[in-house]
Amino acid sequence: MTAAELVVDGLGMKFEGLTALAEITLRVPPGEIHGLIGPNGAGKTTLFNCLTGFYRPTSGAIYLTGQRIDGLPPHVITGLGIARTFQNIRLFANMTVLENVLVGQHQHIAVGGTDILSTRRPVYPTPVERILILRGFPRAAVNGIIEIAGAIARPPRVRTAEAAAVARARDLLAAVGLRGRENDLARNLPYGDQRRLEIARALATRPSLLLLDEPTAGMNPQEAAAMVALIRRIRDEFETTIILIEHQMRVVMGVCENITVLDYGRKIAEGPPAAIQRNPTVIEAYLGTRAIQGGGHAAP
Amino acid sequence: MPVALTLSVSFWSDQFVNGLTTGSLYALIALGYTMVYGVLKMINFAHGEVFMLGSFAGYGALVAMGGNDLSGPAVALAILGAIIVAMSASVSASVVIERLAYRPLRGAPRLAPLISAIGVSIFLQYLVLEQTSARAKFYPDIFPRGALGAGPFEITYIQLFLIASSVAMMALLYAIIQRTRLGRAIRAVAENPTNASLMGVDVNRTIVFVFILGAAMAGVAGVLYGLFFQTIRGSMGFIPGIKAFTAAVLGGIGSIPGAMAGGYVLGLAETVGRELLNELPGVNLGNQWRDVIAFTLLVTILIFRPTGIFAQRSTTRA
Repeated sequence: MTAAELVVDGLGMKFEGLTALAEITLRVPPGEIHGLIGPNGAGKTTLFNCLTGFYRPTSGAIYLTGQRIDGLPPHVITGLGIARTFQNIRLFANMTVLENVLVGQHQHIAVGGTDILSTRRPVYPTPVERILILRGFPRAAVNGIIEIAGAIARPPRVRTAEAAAVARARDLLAAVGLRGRENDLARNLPYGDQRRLEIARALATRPSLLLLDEPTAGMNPQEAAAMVALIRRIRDEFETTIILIEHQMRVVMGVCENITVLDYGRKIAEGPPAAIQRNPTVIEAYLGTRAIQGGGHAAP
Repeated sequence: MPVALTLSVSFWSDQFVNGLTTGSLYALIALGYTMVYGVLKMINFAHGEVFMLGSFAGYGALVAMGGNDLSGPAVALAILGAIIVAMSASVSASVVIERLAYRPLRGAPRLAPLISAIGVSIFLQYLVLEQTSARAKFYPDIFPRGALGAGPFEITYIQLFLIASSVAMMALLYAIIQRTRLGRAIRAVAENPTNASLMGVDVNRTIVFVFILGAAMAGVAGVLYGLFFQTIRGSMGFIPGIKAFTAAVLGGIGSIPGAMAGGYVLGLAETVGRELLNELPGVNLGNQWRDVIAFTLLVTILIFRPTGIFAQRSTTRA
């Protein structure tokens, strides 16, 4: 996957009169590591929710490498290349580590037949499919029949696809440092490993834009440093653009090339870390906390 | 139990086989309840009627293929054909029910789809009763008679076929759930639909698959029921449906292995359990008591162990 460009144009999000985001305009060039900071309630996570299609923005537009994506359902947006992790980890707790990553690959496991969801996947009609479609069966029904038939009969093609997915899942787990934990239940992993698994699972969707929501939350400085190294490595090895929400200023200032600052749902500043640290509006917004100058945490 | 069993070994083994037979049917039907509950947190009370429709479709297929005139190897083919027709009918009905009666209510208060399900259940039941003038139909009596036996243990061919095909269907379903992309998607949606959609899983489509798989099991159960009990009628879905729901609750609703185990526990409780109670002095429970036993079990479980008798750590839930 090649890294994507994200353009957000005049984005607004209102919840029954409450303005969560207003007039957000943002451009993140391909391959950038971009920071999203701001006091609690500034709208950072709301912006992520708009980008992934979980919320439908009330105004404005979002473009991923030129394609407009706002208003599309989440699974389609995932197929187009946006993946995210969560501030409060949301793994499939009762599935194994390996299975979590396999779910991430959902759209990339050819079960026989084309997947109606994926707009990126090439179309491989099987002979059976071709006949059914020619006979006028609706595409969704044909896909359904093929998927169930594939799950029951497990023809070589399905088995090959599964094996490839498992191999790739193992690679991803190795890349985030979880080799050997494949068959553990996700909920039995220690906290830091759960965060890493979330990243592996997000990478499994083959993102061109990766959204990380507080990837170092609850980590000590050593763990946070390891996470920063991992984030850089992901950008280089997996060729993704990365946007991260982060409260640990040392992390943000260290890893981000550009930073957007939100306050009360508006963008109040944008620029490279050094400029942001000196920006009077930003300091004003954070006043009362020792966030910007020091290395500590921002808003509580 | 410190009571000496007065009846013969062959009596108990018969009860055991009978328990396994009805238990197989309960388990097959219970899977539909438990899987739908797993993804939608909703009790699909129309599932008993999906089973009934499968049974009627299988009956229609058998009659169309020659009914009582079938003999020899044609019987096997006809039964296979009837099972396929029944599965198709149940699946089609279930997909339509989901689309028309449940999907529009997604996100509504939990009571709304439940009431809708009860409405669908009554609608289908009376539709078939009306079409059949409320008369029973009788499955062609084509299944080979006879039994396999060793010592006091005896099992009729039809019971063997019923139990074996149920177990095979359940094994197939379990393999799909545990080992395929489809199964993982179902488990992911059951755990967290939002999260699953962010992994690229189409939640609506996955829910349809859940209805399809559950209905397929019910369709098979419909034919097996018809072959075994022979009498089918428009109202036949109600009691097995409620029993299967009980089985799903016994095993911990939402859990697939739980539903299978719950079906057999319930089947055995109604037969072996009842006869064990009869061993107590002064107790004499007739066959009609089986429903009392089943629903006493349901109420007891709901009061004391609402997560099911196996108290699943939720690992195997799907």
